[in-house]
Amino acid sequence: MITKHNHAESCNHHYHSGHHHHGIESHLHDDALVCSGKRDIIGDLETIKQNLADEIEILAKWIQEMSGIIGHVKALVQCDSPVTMISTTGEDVTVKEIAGSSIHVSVVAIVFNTNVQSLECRIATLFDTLQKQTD
Amino acid sequence: MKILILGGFLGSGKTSVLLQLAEYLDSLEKEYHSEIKVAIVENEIGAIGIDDKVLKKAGFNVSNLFSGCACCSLTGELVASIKKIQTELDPQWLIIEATGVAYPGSIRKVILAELGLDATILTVADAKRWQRLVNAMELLVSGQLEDTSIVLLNKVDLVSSAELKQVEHSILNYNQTAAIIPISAKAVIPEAILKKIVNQAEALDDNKA
Ligand SMILES: Nc1nc2c(ncn2[C@@H]2O[C@H](COP(=O)(O)OP(=O)(O)OP(=O)(O)O)[C@@H](O)[C@H]2O)c(=O)[nH]1
Ligand SMILES: [Mg+2]
Repeated sequence: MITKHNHAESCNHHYHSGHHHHGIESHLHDDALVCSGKRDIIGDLETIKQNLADEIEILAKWIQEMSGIIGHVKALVQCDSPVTMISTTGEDVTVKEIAGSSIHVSVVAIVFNTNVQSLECRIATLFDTLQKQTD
Repeated sequence: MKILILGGFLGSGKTSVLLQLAEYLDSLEKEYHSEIKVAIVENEIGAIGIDDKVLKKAGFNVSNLFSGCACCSLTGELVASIKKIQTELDPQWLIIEATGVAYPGSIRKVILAELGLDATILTVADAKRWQRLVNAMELLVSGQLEDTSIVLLNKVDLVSSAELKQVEHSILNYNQTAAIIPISAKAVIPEAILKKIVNQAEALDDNKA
């Protein structure tokens, strides 16, 4: 896992101590850089699928523009529907159905010749964008 | 238990082939002492498993091995999981999907040395990206062809017949003995081709016996 690095200037993320992109894990496997992340987003499944496909395309273009070589970039979208929240403050217990679905999005990028920090930033941005698009 | 190793570069189409091949093997009427026809070992290098979920969703019995390179650091884990599958499930076929950066020939050697079991290698090559990959990492993509019995030349839907010829020609530089079978795993692979793959694997198996 990459724990310490200087951030690319284009990256506007906030970091937790240890300068690590929250939720993004990177490692080198022979010459291949493997970068994986996941996020849960509440929203509409079809919209998220379409937005993710667009974002993956943008990511692929970016990698190639940076002279990187794409091994394989893949993502998985899993949907828990419906979403129910159960809560209590000590009195009664409320059971509430939440509109929309809880969508788990995982992204794995296996690339060559690409800067690890920049790639982590790009993937973190991808998740942020997805989240913003559903808010 | 017959073992097939599915190798080939990242994104060449191994999982796409595996889904159809496993389904085909599952559909075959065969006398075998175990109920289970096909078990799958997935070796992934991402921290998050994706292929194993796709295959499990399709109803297959899948074991997932993370990281390592299946030929060195992962040896112990790979050997242990094959042993476990052999004793607990004893499937007629075991299909191992290698990572896209592994040398399937090395995996075969490990299994033979550690377990005394021989395996047949199928290597999937990406017709569309072949030349680009040879230019960028010849050692890896040519090394993945070593010791393979069959080259499944995939994504033929994306190349012209002239380009396909060139790729076949290039592959022959690295392996002159393997059968080269053009396919498009994105679509339904014709049964005749799946049969050919299985027959070829069985023929090799018989030769070894
Ligand atoms: N056009 C086309 N695309 C294909 C074909 N076969 C596979 N693909 C696509 O190629 C990509 C990679 O396919 P996978 O089957 O996941 O490849 P893989 O070798 O298992 O990938 P890794 O396990 O990550 O190394 C996917 O987007 C597939 O849909 C094909 O015959 N034609
Ligand atoms: Mg795969």
